[in-house]
Amino acid sequence: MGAGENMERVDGQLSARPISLSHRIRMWQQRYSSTVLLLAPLLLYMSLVFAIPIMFQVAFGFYSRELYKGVLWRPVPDFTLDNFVRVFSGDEVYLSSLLWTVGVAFFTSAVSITLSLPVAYFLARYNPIGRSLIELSFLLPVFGEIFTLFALAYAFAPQGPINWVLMGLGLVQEPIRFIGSPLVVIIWMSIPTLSVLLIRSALVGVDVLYEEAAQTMGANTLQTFAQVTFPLAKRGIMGALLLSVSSGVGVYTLPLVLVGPYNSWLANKITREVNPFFNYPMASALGVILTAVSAVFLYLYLRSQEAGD
Amino acid sequence: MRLPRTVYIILNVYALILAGIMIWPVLQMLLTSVTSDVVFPPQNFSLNAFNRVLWPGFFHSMGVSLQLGFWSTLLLISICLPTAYVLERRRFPGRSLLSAVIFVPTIFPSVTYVIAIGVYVAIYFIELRGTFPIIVIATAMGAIPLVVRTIQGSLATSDPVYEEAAVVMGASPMQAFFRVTLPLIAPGVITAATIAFTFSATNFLAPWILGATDPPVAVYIYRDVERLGFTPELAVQVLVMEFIILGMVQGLYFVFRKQLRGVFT
Repeated sequence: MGAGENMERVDGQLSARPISLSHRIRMWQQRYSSTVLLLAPLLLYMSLVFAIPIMFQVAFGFYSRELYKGVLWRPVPDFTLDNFVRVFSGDEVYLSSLLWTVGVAFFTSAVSITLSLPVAYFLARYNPIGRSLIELSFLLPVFGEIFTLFALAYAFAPQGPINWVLMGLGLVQEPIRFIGSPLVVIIWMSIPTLSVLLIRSALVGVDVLYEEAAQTMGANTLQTFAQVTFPLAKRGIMGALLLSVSSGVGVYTLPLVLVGPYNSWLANKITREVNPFFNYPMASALGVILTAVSAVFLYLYLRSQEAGD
Repeated sequence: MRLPRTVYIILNVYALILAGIMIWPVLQMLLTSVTSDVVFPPQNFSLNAFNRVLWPGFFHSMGVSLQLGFWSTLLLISICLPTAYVLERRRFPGRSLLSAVIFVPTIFPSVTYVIAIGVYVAIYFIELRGTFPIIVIATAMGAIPLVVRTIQGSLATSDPVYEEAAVVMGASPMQAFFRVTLPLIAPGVITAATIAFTFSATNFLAPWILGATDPPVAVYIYRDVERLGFTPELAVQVLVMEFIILGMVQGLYFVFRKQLRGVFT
C-alpha cells in the first residue's frame, strides 16, 4: 500500500483523493500497533491497580454508609457532601489533623532545605574530603526505611545515645521521652537527605563567573551567596522545597512506628477510618483531600520549573 | 569563589557530620543487637538477644518476604521493560504524557492509593482481601518509576545501531531485542531488578495496610513493636532481615557477574 494509490490523474494533474477512514486506521495500525502492544502491560496494570481504585475512591468520598444486617457498615451510593463537610467544619479531629500534617511538612521541609544549602553548595563547588562517601550517604535512607526507623527508635530511647548526650551536656535533667511524642518524627524529617542532591544540581547550574565578579567587586562570601548565587539558583531550591512538602504530607510509616497508632498525621487517620471504624466513605474522602493537597504542591513545583524556561 | 580556610573546614566537617547521621543507623543496629538492653553507653555485651528471637516464625515471614520480592520483581520487569523500550526508542503521540504517568505512583502519597486498593478489594472482592497476589500487585506499584527510569537510562546509553543491523540481516524484531538489545542493556535491567527486589521485600506499607494474612517480615517485626516495644531482639531481626536481603542482591550480582563485567569497576 503506497501513497500512490490515493493519487489519481484528473485532467492531467495530480490531485489527492481524501484518504478513507479505513485506510487511515490501517496506516495507524501499521505504525503504532507494536507500540500499543508493548505498552499494554503497563496500561493494563495502571488502570486495574491504580486508575480504577482511585476513581472508586473519589466516588466513595461522596457516598454515605448504612449498617447492613446489624454487623457490617457498607457504603451506599447516596450522593452526599457530608464527609467533606465533616472534615472542613472543624468540629472533629480531621481539620486539625490536616493542618498539623501540612504544617509539619512545611516546617520540616523549610528546616531541611536550610540545613542542606551549605552542604549542597560545598559539594557543588569544592572537592571535600570524603566526597564520594558524603554523596552516597544521602541516598542511603531510600533503601531500607524499616531499618532507619528502628535505628531511630533505639537512638532516641530513654537511655539511648541521644538522651545520653543531652544529659551529658547538662541540657536536660532527666531523659526526654522521644518515643511516643511527635518530636522524633519532626527531627528526622528536618534532616536533609535527598534534597541535598537536588539543590546541588541546581547550584551546579549557576556559573562561577557571576560569583567571581561579585567577589572582585568587593562582596564577602556571605553577601555573594545571598545576593548572587541564591537568586540564580532560586528555582531549583524552590523546586526541592515543594517536592519535599509534597512528599512530607503523605508520611505514614515514620509516625506509625515512632509515635504509635494514635498519632495525628492525616495518613494515619485515613487508615484508622478503614481499620477499626469501617467507615469507607470517610476514608475515601480523606484520601481524596490528602491527594489533592499533595497535588497542589506538585503543581506549584511543575509551574515553578516551567516559569524560567 | 575562594573561601576562608576556617569556613572551608567547618563546611567539610558539617558535610561529614550529615553523612555520619545517614550512616549511623547501621552502627546503631549493630550495637543494639549485641547488648542485652537498650542503654547507652553499652554496659552488658551479650548475644542473648540472638537466642531469644523466635526464629521459626521469623524465617517463615522472611520466606514470605522473599517470595513477595521475587514475584513483585518479575511483575515489575515484565511491565517496565517494554515500557522503557517504547519510551526510549519509539516516537508516538502521547509520549510525554506517558512519561508523566510513570511518575504518578511517586506523586500520589502511597497511603492513599494503597487505601484505595484496599477499599476497592474489600467491597468488591472480599474473599481476596489480604491474599498474596493482592499484596504483590499493590507493592509493585511504588517501584515503577525507579525501575522504568533505570532501564531507560541504560537503553539511552546503548546504541540502537546494533539492533537495526540485526533487523537488516533478517532477524525478527523479537530476535533482535532478545539476542542483541537485551544483552547490551543487561546491567541496567539487573540493577533495576535489585532495586525492585529490595523495595518489595522490605516494603512495610502495602502489606500492613492491606492486612496481609501471611505477613512479610517487616510487618511481622512491627507487630512485636506494638506488643513489646523496642527490644534488642527486634534489632537482631531487623539486622538479619537486611543481611538476607542484601545477600540475595549480592547473590544476584554474582549469578550475573558475566553480564555485569566492567560495570562496577
